[in-house]
Amino acid sequence: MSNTNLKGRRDIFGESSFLLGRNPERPSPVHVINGFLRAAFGRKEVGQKIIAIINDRDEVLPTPPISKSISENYKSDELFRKSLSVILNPDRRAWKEIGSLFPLHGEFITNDPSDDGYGRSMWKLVAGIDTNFKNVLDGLLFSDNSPDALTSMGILLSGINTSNNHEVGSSTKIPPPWQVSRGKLSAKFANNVTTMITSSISSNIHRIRSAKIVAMTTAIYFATWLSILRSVCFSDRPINTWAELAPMFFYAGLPPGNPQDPAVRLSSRSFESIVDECRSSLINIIRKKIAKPRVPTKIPKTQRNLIKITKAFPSLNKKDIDNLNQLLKPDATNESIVETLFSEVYPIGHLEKGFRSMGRKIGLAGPERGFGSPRFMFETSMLGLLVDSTVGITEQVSYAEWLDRIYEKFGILVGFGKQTDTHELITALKMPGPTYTAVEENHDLLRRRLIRSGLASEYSDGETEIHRHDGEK
Amino acid sequence: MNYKTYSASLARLQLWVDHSIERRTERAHGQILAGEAESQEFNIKPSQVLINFQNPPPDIIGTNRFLVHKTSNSIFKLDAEKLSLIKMLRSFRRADRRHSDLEWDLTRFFEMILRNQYSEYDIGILICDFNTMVGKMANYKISLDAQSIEESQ
Repeated sequence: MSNTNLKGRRDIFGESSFLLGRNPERPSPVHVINGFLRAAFGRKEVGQKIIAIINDRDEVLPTPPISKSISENYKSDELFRKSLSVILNPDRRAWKEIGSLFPLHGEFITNDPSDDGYGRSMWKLVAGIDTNFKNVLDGLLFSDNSPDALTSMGILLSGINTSNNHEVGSSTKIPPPWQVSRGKLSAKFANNVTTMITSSISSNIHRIRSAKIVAMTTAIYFATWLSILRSVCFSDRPINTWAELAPMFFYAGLPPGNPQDPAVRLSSRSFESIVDECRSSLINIIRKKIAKPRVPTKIPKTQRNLIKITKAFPSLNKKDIDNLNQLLKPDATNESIVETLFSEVYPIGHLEKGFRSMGRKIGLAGPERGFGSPRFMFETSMLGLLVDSTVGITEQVSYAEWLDRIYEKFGILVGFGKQTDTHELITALKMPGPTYTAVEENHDLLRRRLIRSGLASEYSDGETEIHRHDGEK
Repeated sequence: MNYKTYSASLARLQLWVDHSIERRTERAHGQILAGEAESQEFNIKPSQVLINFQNPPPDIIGTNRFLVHKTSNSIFKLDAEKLSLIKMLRSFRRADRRHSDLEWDLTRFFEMILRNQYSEYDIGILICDFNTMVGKMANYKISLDAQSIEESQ
């Protein structure tokens, strides 16, 4: 067993912060939005107190705003704490000491590192592109106007300890977490994931506050997951079109799908090839770094690896380097250093496990571990989010055009678009068998699912049009 | 939305909100009652066979039926499968796919009605115990003016 303690060390790869960490199964949607809001507004104090109220019977209920009839009656007190947990801790990600809460009010942001830094990275990306979004969030999360009782409850509980102390104003331009200058696609992708997040609020202005927050949390997690899968390639090489990357083919039927179904197999193969692509991009990044330092020939062979690693990866400490060096032969080539280092950072199965685990949390990947090979798939709520972020409130788009849109914006392949020849694109997966029929069936499966979910309408002329569930026709 | 752990009202439709986002083996162990809509506010409307034909179009109705909320125009399709799912004990296991889709349909239906049908002062919290299939309802009156959260009936 390795003792290098390098597992999940993202700093090895330099500037890209959308990489899997040591425990990729840990960050959940509520953690990521908490990190996102903490990056925007800073740490708050009330959240920690709410966590204590929910989890610790000894924490006294604040009166006011909570009435004495609740706090002085044992049963009422207990019921109130449970009720608060339903509202603010529905995903059960807040424990006694630490955790993240549903951000019904901006004051509920906690100092929880469980998001592995994704929230901060996503905030950097969004704030760098939409400089007004901080104001939008401020209006949503810190406003004292409340039309509904649920929001009022958030406002009343937000004042139990401190007052607002964050700075409000437009964000400044911050360089996004991956290099947008390298190829046209990375900048477009950065814009598209940002729009997915910002539109979750701007295009749903009539919803009650809590519904907007649910939509935004889901959008942020979706965008984070997509960014982790794709952005490492942007850091490795200039990319101009999605066709230059491994195809991301989603199974469109009801999850998790029959493993024998050709579309399910295609989706699993697509998952594998994206993992392979990420792996080779990461290896390339290490390879470039290790090739840079030049070591004088007079240095003894036994010392060369040590010097190379120290110069190439300045973030590693002496202990890490010594441990790594012990795994290497004295005359190890650059290539064997790369392989050893990569397998220490991301051991076999780490990437697959992480991508599946994160995707499964919101219904984009599955099935659960032990139930078959990982694949891309859509839960119905994710279809709703995709439609919401690609179709305007008054718009109706033909099904084929919509498939073009989701490919153009996010590189997601499902069926035949007007311009997107999915069958041609998936030839890169080198799958034997009737792939054309598989794509054709997948195309129709999604069409029928969208109609059934109220996200599309079918007309007598055979046309299917995509529209938002709450669209104004 | 209450998994039959709590008896629903016949006079009005209770509008439930769920803050859970993460997909787990079991659905959220609680729901929030954020508003109500009286039963008179709804119509059951049939589908129209012809649209964009004449103004007004000939009144030829189709076989589909929809529950329509008059003011918000929120629509819920009434088909045999959904109705039987609603009638039977709602499953709290996420693996029951048909229930997951029904939950999504209902959430979107409620959400649209809630745009103008939310409760200003009252909130209800249903806490479900899936082991005993018993639900406990807690009701609160919230007042920003009085700065108070009180129990209510």
